[in-house]
Amino acid sequence: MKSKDLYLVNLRYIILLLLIKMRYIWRCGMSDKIFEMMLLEQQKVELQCVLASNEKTKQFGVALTEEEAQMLITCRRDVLKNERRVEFGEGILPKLIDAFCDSQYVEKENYADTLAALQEVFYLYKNESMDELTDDELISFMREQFDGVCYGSIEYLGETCLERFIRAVRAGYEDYKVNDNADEYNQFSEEKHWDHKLYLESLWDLLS
Amino acid sequence: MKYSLEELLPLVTKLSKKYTSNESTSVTYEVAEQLMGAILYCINENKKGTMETEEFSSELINYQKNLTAEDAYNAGYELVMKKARRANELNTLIGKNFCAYGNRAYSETVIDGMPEFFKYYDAKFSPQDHLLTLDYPTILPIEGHCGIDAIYLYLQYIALEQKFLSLIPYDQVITALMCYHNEYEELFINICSVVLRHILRHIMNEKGSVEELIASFTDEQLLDYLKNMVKLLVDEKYEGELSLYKYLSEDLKAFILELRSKKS
Repeated sequence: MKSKDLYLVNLRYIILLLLIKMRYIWRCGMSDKIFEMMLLEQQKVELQCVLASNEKTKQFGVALTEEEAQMLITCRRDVLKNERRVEFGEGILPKLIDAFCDSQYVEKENYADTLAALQEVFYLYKNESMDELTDDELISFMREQFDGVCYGSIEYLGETCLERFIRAVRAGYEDYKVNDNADEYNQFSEEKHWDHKLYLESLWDLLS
Repeated sequence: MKYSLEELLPLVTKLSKKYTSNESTSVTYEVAEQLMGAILYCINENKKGTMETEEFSSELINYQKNLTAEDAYNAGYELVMKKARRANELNTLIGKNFCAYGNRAYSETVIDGMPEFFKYYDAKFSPQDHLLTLDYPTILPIEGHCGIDAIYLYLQYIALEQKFLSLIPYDQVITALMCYHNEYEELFINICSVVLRHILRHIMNEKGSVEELIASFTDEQLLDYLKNMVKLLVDEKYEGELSLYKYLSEDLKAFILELRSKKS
């Protein structure tokens, strides 16, 4: 190909790429306004749903005051904006409440803060999974590990279990769909944990 | 008929739920924007469909004005599906006798690219995306069109080009292309335009000196002269097909620029 023709071909592609970038920048501005509107509409619905969940959670000794519910919804708005996600319907908070309210690591002193942290971690890893996981699959995994290897630490949950599991999902791992999350994390864990049998044997040795 | 955001957002919510199969309560901004684009595209298709209908009347305009956003979207979606089916049929018809004359962009766009478009085109969640880069340039650009609209228009242009080229002996087409550039196979050029200009130059040469002819005409006169030549050609060989004449005529202004620049 003559250099002039090659130049024209390359110029055409450069112009096309520039136009795509300009169109993207314009659309980002438009999107934020539209999605803020969606958030405002949704907030009214969610406050009622969140407070309604107290009916179930009371039996486990945890409940949200209206202020705490409002705080959670405000946090949710900020996290959604940071993670560039938009929610519809009643949102994820009622599902998180339903999944975690009976956890032994959730107490009334830390209930609202725990939910806020779980919410943040949920949206972060929903994005990280590139939406490969459904809400239920992600929450189910989070609850399993929260009560298991994380011993109630959300920081540990985010920095180890979720980070590694989501990485595997992005790489094409799909066994979680049939395994129902049972011991899903073991194959991805990079930490050495106490085996229950080994723990008992060691304890017996120490005592004897 | 313009719809407010308050009318459109519930549609986005509905479509988002279908998109996630009700398995997620949230989507990314990009997905929500894509789905909003899908809704607007279908609504626009419905509006265009109304304007183009043979029974266009004031009653139809009033009917359109009273349509809810959801009804307009649903009607538009049906039109998108219809257009996709028509485009697929046209693509099948083109594919039967298609010849790319060795040009890689022509072959890759139509033979390789088009079937992939119909395999992956998402009329429900991304009707505005035409997926292909459509590297082979047509005489009339498809800028301003997108989605199935762009593809259908593009295929109509390709069909016209193939009709034009099919009546010219293969060797003559190759000769015209080789005269243009001996590596025409790798260039992003419009085959039809190159061959048409070659034919017009040949006819002009038979009538006398092309340079003298160009010098004696203004641009408008030259355009009329060339349009008449194209009209005669289409009337004689292509049963006077108006759409073919209009398509080929669109190349003449650029041809005049080429003639003038070569002369200078």
